[in-house]
Amino acid sequence: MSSRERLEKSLDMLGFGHDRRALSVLRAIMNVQSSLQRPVDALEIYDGLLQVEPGAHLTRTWVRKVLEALVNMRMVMVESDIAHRKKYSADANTIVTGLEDLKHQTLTRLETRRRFLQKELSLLSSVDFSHMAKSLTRRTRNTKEQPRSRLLKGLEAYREITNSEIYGRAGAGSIIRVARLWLRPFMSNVLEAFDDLLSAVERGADLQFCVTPDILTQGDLVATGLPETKLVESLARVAKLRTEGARIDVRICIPNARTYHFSSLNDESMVILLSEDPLAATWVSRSFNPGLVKSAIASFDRTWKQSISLFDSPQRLIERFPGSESGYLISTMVGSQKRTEGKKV
Amino acid sequence: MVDESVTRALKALGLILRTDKDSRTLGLVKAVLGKQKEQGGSLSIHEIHDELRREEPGVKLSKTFVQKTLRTAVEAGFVRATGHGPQRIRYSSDASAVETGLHRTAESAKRRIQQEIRLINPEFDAAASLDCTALAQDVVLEFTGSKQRISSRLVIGAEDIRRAVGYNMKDTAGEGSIIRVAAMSPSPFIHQNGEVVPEIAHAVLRGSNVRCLVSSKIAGGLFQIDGREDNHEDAFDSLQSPRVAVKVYDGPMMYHQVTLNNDCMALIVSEKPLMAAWITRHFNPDIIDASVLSFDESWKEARALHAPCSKGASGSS
Repeated sequence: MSSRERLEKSLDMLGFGHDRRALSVLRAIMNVQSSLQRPVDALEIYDGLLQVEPGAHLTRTWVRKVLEALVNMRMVMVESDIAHRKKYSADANTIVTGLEDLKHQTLTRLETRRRFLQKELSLLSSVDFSHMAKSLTRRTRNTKEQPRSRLLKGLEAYREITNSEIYGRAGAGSIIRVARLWLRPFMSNVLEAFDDLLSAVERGADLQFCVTPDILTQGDLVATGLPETKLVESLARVAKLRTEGARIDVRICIPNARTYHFSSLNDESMVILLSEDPLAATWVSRSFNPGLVKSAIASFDRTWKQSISLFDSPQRLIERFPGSESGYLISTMVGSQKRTEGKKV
Repeated sequence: MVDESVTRALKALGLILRTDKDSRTLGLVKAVLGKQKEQGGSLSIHEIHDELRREEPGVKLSKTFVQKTLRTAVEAGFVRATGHGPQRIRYSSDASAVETGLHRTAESAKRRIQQEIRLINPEFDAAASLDCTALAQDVVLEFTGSKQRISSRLVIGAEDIRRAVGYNMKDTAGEGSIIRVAAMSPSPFIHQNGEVVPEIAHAVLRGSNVRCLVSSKIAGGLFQIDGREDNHEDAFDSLQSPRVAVKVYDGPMMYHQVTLNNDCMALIVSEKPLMAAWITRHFNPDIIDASVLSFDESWKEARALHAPCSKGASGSS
C-alpha cells in the first residue's frame, strides 16, 4: 500500500477522506498560505482553487461555507475575526487538533454502537420466547374481544350497533329476536331498520319479531310519520319471503305481557333500550354477561309462545284484541283479504 | 396492557419498527391470528388480504405484496402453510408457530448483530491506534510537498486536554517511558477521588512509569490525608501498579503540567477557562527540559503520602 493510499484509508476511517470539497479547500489554504507566507482570505482561497482546477464551477459562497465547516472542525484557524476580512490559516498543529476531534467522534460513535448491539444481543439471549409468543397471541385475542359491552346514545349509534352486531352478523341458522313496545322511539328509521332485518332473513336467519297490541290499535300508522308506500313495500316483502319459506314471524304479545325494547342474535349478544328520550341503549355480549343475555332470551321466548301471529286470520286478532279492527294494520289486512276473496269469486 | 419487555424484544427483532408501528410480518401474523379467532380454521390468501385491508382501510395493499409478506412469515415459521397449488394453500398460526418464528428471527438477528460487532471491533481498534500527529504531518506533506512538525498549540477545556494527552502520551508511551504529572490545583489529569485519568493510567499498561507530584494544598482533598483515610495509594493507583508513584509537594508553586519523557508536555496556562499549551520538543526543547529538571528536583524533596509535613514547608508560594 502506498503512503498516499495509507493516508486516504486513515482519513476515510475518520470520515474525512470522503469529504473531497473540504480536502480541496484545506489543500488550497495551505498552498496559498505557503506562497504568500501569511494567513489568507476567502477570495485568495477561491482563486487558489481555480488555479488548481481552472473552469471548475465554484462560487465564493460555497468556498465560505466549506471554510466555516473547516473552522468548526478546528482544522483551520481564523486569524482575524472581522467579518469581511477574515484570514484563515492551517498547519500541522490545527490539523492535528481537527483530526483528534474526528478520532474522538469516531471512537465515541463506534463505542456507542457496540454497546447498543451488545445490549440487544444480551436482551435477545435472555428472552423467553414461549412467554413472548403467548403474550403476542393473547394481545391479538384481547384486541378482538375487547368490545364486550357498550352504551349507545342516540338513534344513529343504536342503529349502527344493532346492524353491525346483530342483524349484520346473522346468517343461515341464526335466530334474531326483536321485541318492540311501540315504534315511536325508532320512527325516523324504523322501515330502514326493518329492511336490515329482512336482509338477514334473506341470508337464512330466523326472525322472531314481537310487538305489543298497541300497534294494532293505532288508528293511522301512516299518520305517525311512516311513508305508506314504503310500509306497504315492506309488508309485501315479508309476505313474499314467507311464501318462499323464510322463517319470519311477527307476533302480537298478549296485553300486559312483561316485555321491553329488545333485539338479540342467538344467545351471543343483545341490545336493550334503557331510555326513549333521549334515546339510550346498551349492547351486551355473551362474554360480558352470559347470564343476562340468557335470561333476557328466556323471557322473550316465554312471551313469544303466548303471542299470536299477525299472519293468523284477522278475525282471530280482532277477537283477541278488541278495538283492533279500526287500526291501520287490521283494516288494511281485512281490506286486502276482501279484495283477494272478491277476485276469487 | 402491553408487556414492555415484549415490546423491547420485538423492537430488537425488528418486528416493531422505530416508528412504533408493527412490521409487515407482525401485522400479518396478528391479522391471521385475529381472523382465525373470528372464524376459526385455516385461511385463504384472499381472507388474509381482506382482513389486512379491513384493519388498514385506505392503505393500498396489493395481493402480490400480501403474498410476499406471507412467504416471509411462512419461511420464518410464524405462519404454517398447508395444501398444494396456489389456490389451495391455506394458512394458519398459533402460539407455537409464533414461538418458532420468534426463535428463528432471533437467531438471525443475533447472527446479524454478532457480525456487525465483529466488523466494529477492528474498526474501533484501527481508529484508536491512529496517530493523529503522524497523520497530520502526512496530510501536510501530501498537500504542500514539505514536511512540517507539530510544534505547539492551545488546547481548551479539560476534555480536550485529556484527549490530547491520551492520543499523544497513552498511545506513544512505551516500556521505560516516564510520565511526570505535577498537579498544583484541581487538575484535568487527576480525578477528584485521586485516581489518575485513564489516558495516563493506561500508559502504565504499555510499560511506562508515572510519577505524580501533588501539592499539599490539594492532596488532602484528593486522598483525604490527616488520618481520615489510610488507603491513599490504593485510591490513587487504580491499576495497583508499582509503576505509579505519588508524592506530596510542600514547596512553592511550580508548573502545573504533564510531560512524556523530554518529548512533549501539556502545560496548564490558565485555570479559568482551563487552557493548556501543548508543546513538543521541536517547538521548544528548553521549556520541556527545564520543566523536567524542575520536576525531578521537587520530586527529590517531596514526601511520601504518609509522611508528615516537614516544618517550615510553605505549601505554597
